[in-house]
Amino acid sequence: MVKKAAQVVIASIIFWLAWWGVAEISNSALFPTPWQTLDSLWGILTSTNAWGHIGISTYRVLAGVAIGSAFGAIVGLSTRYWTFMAVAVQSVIYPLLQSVPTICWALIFVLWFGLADITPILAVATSVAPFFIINIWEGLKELDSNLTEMASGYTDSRWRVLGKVIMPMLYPYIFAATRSSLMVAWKVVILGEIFGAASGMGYMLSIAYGSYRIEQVFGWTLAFAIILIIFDYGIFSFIDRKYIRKWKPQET
Amino acid sequence: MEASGNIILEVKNLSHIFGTLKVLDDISFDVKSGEVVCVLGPSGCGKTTLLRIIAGLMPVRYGAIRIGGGTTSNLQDIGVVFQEPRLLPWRTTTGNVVLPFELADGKASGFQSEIAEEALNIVGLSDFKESYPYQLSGGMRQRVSLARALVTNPRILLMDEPLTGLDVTTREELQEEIIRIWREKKMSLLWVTHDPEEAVFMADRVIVLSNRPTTIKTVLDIPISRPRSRVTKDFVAAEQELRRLLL
Repeated sequence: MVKKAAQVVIASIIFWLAWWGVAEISNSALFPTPWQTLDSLWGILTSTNAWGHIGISTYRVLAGVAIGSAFGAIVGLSTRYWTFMAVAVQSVIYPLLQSVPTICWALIFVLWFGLADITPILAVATSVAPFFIINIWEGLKELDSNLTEMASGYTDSRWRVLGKVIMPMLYPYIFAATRSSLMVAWKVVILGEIFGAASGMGYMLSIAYGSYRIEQVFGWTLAFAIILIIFDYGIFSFIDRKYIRKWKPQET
Repeated sequence: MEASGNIILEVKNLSHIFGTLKVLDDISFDVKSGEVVCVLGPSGCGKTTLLRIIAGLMPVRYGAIRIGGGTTSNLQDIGVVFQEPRLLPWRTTTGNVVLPFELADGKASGFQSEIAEEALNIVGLSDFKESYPYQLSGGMRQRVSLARALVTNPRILLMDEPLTGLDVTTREELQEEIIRIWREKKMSLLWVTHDPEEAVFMADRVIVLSNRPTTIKTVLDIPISRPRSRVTKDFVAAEQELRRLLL
């Protein structure tokens, strides 16, 4: 544990030093040093409207993931109950969602809805839905039919078997899908906001970019990276420890 | 014997086919109230298929099954213990044992939770209520599975080689405990096994199946008084007889 923590610290130091070194060597106004970036980040975080933009981006990420996950989960689960859906998902829905670039969805939504909240939200939803479809699909394939058979002996209700036995078996898959989704969702939101919104972190980035304020671009980028890391390590390792690890044998 | 005479389970002219393979051929027998009946047969002879059809987990293709006097199997009348414990790994012992109530009624009432607790006492797991399946031994997991089958207070327990895969000591310990529980609960047992010794220890009556196609070769009464000892002359003789029939 201690050794790993030390390695994390060393890796971080190397990163900051490398950044600093490259910035110093290039000695360019277009490559801010870590200190200039941190200074800019501080300026951003203490400015009056920054948290509002961070908040609105967070809201879009969560709303988009909520819509995308609900859609993906319903489509994914439906394959278990209707063979037609299994074919439709495999041959049409999944390939379509998977192959169309997010940027295309984003452009279409801008044309349809203009600079509204719904534009980045739907861009996120369409880009994360495939994660849920494919993970639930995989989860259903791995489903322990011994357990569903046991459960169906006690009830005629498919809903209860779904709720008490099948869904819990799918949680690890849904968890994995949510994790990859949120990572992608943040990136999509920023992208969507750059040209499809009048608020949010992406919008602020585009303003900084439009006015050639490179240290602002770096500052927002850093803010963005920090938020992503907090989301991923903080929230997910917490959920993993609290709800998943406790019924699994510890590997030591 | 304990059998009081009224029939709990009636299997009439049951046949089953997988594709072109006839797995069960005209099987007929019944189980009386309070009786332990073992179905003994070689591996792959269709014993499990027979049990699954009786449990309602597979459709009746040819023939008929009557449980508790009715043609439709009331889910509450039968309990099933499978070869594997089939526990939900994310639920504690208690959580697994109340599962039948949650599946039947949405959630378990306070009274039902007491029944679950009682069942755990009966199988000797009252100290492991909050353990997860991975923390239990194979024998203990099968005890949880037994407790889960007991909570609905079934009139007949269907056992699909429940002790296969456990070591000899655990297996014999559980055989004795299940007999004790059976006497307490006054239910019937239909017990599928490939082990002649287990059949002699458990059964009032042993139905010996033949292989390919599976028919009833013979039915052997085991008139040995309980509690049974595995080393008496009668016991060994009955076991030898079953071994001979299996050849």
